[in-house]
Amino acid sequence: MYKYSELDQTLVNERVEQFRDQTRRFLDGELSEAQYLPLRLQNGLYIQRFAPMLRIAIPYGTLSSNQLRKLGDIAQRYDKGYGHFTTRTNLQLNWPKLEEVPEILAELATVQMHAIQTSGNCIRNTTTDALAGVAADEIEDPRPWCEIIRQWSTFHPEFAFLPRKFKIAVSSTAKDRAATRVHDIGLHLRHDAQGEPCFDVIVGGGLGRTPIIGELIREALPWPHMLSYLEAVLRVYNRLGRRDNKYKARIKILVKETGAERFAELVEQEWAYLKDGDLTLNQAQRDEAISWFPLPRYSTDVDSAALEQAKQEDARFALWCRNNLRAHKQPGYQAVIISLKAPGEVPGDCSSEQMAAVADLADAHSFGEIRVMHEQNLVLTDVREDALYEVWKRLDALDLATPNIDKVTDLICCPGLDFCALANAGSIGVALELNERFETLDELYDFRDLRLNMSGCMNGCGHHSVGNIGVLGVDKKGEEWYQLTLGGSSRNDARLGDRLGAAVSRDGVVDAVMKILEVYVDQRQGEENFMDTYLRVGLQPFKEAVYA
Amino acid sequence: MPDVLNPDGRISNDPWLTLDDDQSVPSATPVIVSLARWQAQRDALLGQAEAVGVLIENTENLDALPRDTFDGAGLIALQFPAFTDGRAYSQARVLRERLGYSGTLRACGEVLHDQLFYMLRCGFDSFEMPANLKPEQVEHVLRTFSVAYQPTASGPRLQRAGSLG
Repeated sequence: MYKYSELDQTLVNERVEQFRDQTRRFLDGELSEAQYLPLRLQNGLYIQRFAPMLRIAIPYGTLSSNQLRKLGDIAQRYDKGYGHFTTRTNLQLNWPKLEEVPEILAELATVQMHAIQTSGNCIRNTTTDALAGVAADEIEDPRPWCEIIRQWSTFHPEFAFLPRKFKIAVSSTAKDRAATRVHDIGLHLRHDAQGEPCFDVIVGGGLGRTPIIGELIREALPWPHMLSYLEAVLRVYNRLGRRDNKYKARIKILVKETGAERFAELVEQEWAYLKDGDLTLNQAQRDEAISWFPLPRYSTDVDSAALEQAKQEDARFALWCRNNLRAHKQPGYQAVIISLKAPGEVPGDCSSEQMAAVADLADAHSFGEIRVMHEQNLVLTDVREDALYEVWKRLDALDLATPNIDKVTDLICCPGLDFCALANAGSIGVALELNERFETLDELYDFRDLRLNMSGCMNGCGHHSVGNIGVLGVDKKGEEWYQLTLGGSSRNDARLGDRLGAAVSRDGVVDAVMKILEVYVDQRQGEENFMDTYLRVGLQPFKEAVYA
Repeated sequence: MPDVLNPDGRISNDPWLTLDDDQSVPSATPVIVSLARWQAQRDALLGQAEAVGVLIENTENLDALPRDTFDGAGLIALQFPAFTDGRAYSQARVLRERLGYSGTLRACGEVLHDQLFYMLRCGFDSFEMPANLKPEQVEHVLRTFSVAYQPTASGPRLQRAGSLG
């Protein structure tokens, strides 16, 4: 993975000092709350319902074992012994003390980590496929491009005070695992007719209170122009994005109000000035970026027979293999998804002990690297097939081997009312109850490839609009209610969920989801997944069952 | 006379006088006028005042102006109505890097301590004195970061990490 140069390290160290000074000035009363706010936000520090919340950047979801160990250590010493992995693949600490945050940042800097631009109206952490570099269906490794974007976007002096936050995702597989169509910019990395990398550029997607699927504004952008084109998009947005209403300030509203075609013209006009300028990437730079992500030294003598035997002998292991492994480019290796969705646990939460143990497993079995998925799970990307049984046993002992990846209990969920100052309704409590009820049903029917996403408010941090089943917390006269949507997806077939009907009460929401699943079981043909059944039969049968 | 901050860290009295559109031009004083007045009366203004600066709103599309618009201008004042409104950063870069403007570029409005570094990097070289900045902090603030990743054509030329340049 990418290792900091001396200059990266200098920048992060200087940032720690800057923030230490800013926090001191705030605590001394030199800086007002209003003046401190955007400064602390650009360092990932929110003031939440109960305490400050610190969001630590994990660029494109890649962590070394040392970094994960340090995160666990920080959570232990400065927080309550756990952290929460987010859909932006960052790590949130929910209970740090404001005056200790500069110290936490200094600790993070010792392992090349920081909280730069994890919140605020700036370019946020770039995300990609958690299986980047190893996925069997990958066209080209997106990580070198993500790192180039990370460098370009870090402390970009022109774009620190945009109308609103800005998120970029890169995908390079047929099956989009990075939700690129619901990002401010989605880049689809592919090869042109000559076999050269190029990008299809999608802009103006987003979730939140106005969910919109992004529009393709440029096809096959040659790779040397990636940064100059991104700069052109950002400059048009910085100039023209709305600043009068924060709910209309995202680029998706600008693209919608301008029209995608006209917006593309504006970008082209701006790009005409920037193209072939200082930001143009050359072959030497590309080669160097690729060299930052060397191929691990794979063994060619992996004995896969033992794996088959273990599966025969241990049904629980076999079920886990079926649900939690993903195909690898290298014969004899598999990617292992570590579920952070154990029954009874908050989705995405991970204890310090678990972080340390996963770091050890990565050292022993996966070249010392861990990935964070936007679905809030972890991945060991390079595990030998003959080590899988051992890895599983260790994960199982840590309560990290729930065999539920891409199943209904692998739900995406925001911290909701339980922590967030913005939320209308609790999401974690509902998630826990769903988990319990769902377990028995799943044993019977083995639901696969069914995504349930839940957000505590319209801001949509739990990506409810693109859940196959979406649950949105709403406030009705001080009571928690839940709006259900069906048929959303963030993959290539990206679409927004359809509203099922009137919101249901806290008491009725879990029942309603159970009824939706019963209709699916009743209507599905053969191996059909939920999405296909839904697209075939439509909203009506679900509506009838829930509102009967 | 309000203070201005210079990129070398010097704090000086601001000699520039900002005029309303209907205000007459005093002699022997450098004045700042609106873009509309500048466009309408450039030659007359240059004949009357010691020097003439132009104030540009942050909603102005600089690309739409004729290329010789700022010929003769001694200063351009860009606006930060709130420090969270970052439009003038883009305007500064366009002026420096695209329109080749090489005169004084001043940041006006809510100019704060913690934004000076970004402003310098975008090409500003004169600042309304930040309200929250103490003179003894100036030198430190201007040197907050010794490295940067992005190539911006003006302001201090910095080294960049990685190989992106």
